[in-house]
Amino acid sequence: MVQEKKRTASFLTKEFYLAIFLLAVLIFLWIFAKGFYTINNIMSILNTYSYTLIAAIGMNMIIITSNIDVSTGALVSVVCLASAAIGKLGLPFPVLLPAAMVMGIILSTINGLFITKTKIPAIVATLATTQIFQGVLPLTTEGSIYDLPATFTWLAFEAKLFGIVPASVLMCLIITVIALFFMKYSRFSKKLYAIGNNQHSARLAGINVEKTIVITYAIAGALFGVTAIIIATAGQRVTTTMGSGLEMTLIASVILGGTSTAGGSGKVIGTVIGALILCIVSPAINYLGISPNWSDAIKGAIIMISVVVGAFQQVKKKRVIQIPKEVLNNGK
Amino acid sequence: MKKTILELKDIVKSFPGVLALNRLKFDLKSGEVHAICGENGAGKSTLMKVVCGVYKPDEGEIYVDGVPQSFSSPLDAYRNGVSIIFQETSLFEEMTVLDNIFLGHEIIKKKAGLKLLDYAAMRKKATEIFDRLNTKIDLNACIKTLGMAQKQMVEIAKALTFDANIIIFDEPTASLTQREVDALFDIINKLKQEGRGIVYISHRLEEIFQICDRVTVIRDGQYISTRNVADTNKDELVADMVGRAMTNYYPKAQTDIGEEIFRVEHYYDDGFLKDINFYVRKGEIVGFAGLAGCGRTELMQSICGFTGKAAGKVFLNGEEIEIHNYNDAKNRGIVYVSEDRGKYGLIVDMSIEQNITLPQLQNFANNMSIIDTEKEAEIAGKYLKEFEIKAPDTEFLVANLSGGNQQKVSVSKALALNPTLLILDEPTRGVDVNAKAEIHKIISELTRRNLSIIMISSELPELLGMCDRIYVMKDGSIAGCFDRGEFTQEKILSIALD
Repeated sequence: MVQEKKRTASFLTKEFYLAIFLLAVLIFLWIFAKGFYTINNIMSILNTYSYTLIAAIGMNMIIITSNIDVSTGALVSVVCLASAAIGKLGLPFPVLLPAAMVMGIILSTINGLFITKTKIPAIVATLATTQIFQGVLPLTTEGSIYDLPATFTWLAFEAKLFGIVPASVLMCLIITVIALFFMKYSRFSKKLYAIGNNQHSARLAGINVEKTIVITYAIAGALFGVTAIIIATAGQRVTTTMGSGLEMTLIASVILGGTSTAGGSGKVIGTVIGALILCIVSPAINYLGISPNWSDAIKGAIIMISVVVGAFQQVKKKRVIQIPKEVLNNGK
Repeated sequence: MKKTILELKDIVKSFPGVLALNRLKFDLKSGEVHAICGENGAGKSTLMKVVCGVYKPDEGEIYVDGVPQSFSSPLDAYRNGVSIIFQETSLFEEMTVLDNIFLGHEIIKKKAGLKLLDYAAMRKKATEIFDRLNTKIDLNACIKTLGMAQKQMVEIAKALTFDANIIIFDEPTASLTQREVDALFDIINKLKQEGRGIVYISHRLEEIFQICDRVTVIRDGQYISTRNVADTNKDELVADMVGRAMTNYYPKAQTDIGEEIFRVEHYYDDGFLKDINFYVRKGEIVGFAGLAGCGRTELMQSICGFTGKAAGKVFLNGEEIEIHNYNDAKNRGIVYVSEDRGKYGLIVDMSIEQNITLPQLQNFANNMSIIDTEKEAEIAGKYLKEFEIKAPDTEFLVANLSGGNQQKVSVSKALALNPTLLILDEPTRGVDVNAKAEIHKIISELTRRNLSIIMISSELPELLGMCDRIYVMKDGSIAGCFDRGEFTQEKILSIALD
């Protein structure tokens, strides 16, 4: 009986409030932003959203284990350029996609091994690999790879569902559904949360912490690879800075989605909503007639508000002892 | 005939510099509650951590149902029917009750070739167990939203999902209210009737007489005695627990104790300390005794303004004072020396002189706010010589000093502030015997200079040897007070344990 009562209230989660906020924003835009809901604009947002969310799901897993990856932008740039190099040979998308995923796995696994073997904090380790990834790019290519064949840009220009929806949306949908399912029904996901909560206890519970973290980075790497190939194939030219700054958008999406940077909590559905909110900001500002220079500041403000609200919810109840009245009166 | 289900033989475990367990033995029969008791640091918790695979014993054997076992982790122990409910719960705060109960041994179903978590089956099993325990806990609730008692229920439920035959409770009642304790005892009795063996670690003697069948006393890592609870009494157990002879020499100086300088009346904090009253006189050493977690450190930190009070009065030299933060305390001459040197007492990567002057840099700076290092070296040099701190010079890094010398630096730092009341929290924790004697000598010497000292210590002989008066604390309030000449280990322990 008692349990039933509580369950009715359990949908009032962080994710729920975030979804309400998103809905409010969408209604606001419907009323005030003329032209926001045109097909072109929506499809453009959906494409950005797709590659952002795919990588953000990977970032979410990493952050749940109480780690982080700030090298994602550089990693994606590397994979973009490498994919372009093999794409120039005229290889089709079904070959490019797995190739990009494998490259993502390799680079991200390097991050994972670096962190677990040396016990260096993830932020420091991935900061170092960021420099390495970025540093390698100018050595291999002068600025960009261009004149890429039609086989390379197939995903962006030809692969449309019903002739209109970008295929990247379908990829994102499949990955999101698998992720939702995986984070709910796999034993592995429980290990992620346990490690993020308390590494020491997780070890006592028989979890191989190091192995789990490396596998998490590998999975995230595969997702970063998918994101990279979507970004790379958007045009006939791939530069050395395709993924620059992406890591911040990803981390912001994950945090906005309710995952604590301390690790141990957070849901995929939160990231799904968080990423969408952040992907809407820039075009929304555009259609509202506000200077695009405001976009980063507004994104920042949204994140700050959500983090502060989250912090207020965290305040714990204190044990309180009744102090006798006469003592209190004497004390004044 | 009840059979022996757990037997420990000659368990030895040492940590660097300390022999924690010395040839300990213990046995547990099915359907009994067997208590292990002993003073703080006697080795109770260490012993149980050895049993369930947190630590590896250096020597000795563990038999479960007559079979020698050596568990690699608590999970391994769980799988073999031995479960431990830790003092600090080992639950995952952000995860749900259900996830916690089944972590590491989730129920899996196969569907379309995939191994999936079977929530329905786990929920059913958990509900069954909670029903058996007569407890209602929302399986979807996050652990962090539960109270201490509920967390313990979750741990017990976890133990029962493994169908553990041996359940170890490590200080289970430390943070429970009386009603929760009664409920816990009902459950322990139920588990006992089901034929399980229960190890009950506690230093609350009354509880042992309430629910235990046998009791084993250990002291300083050694086995002392095993008795039937029905055939023994509290005095006998206390005598077993205390036992040790007073080997240390305490160089207490004869001082004339002056008038009262510090008084605390009806002091409360936000939730733990209750109606505290005490006073300190000039040149007096006042001890605070009590078990771990009785609130001594909390009291002193609250008075010094680290955490703040909720109600009560504090008087210094007969005048009521308000202390809002540590600076207020420091400026009035009340100085606190932390029990944890490495964490709160000293900055180990700085030199001796830098540490000593840190709380009062303004006094060592010229009007350009530049620190006068000569002045620093001078004062540090004074203490270096006076307290015989073993360092080549005052620029020596604190990290490179031994524990005892670090403690001397800690005390020097406090004394440099010219305190009238010095609060020493565990002043000799983690220092060797010689350094201990030296620190005792320093403390004694300070009272001769009319300084008043409050000393918190978990080592009773130290308090007995050094103090003029001892307050005994229990569960956040003061349970008794003894004058020198009146106090004995037995008297203090029997109040602290009661």
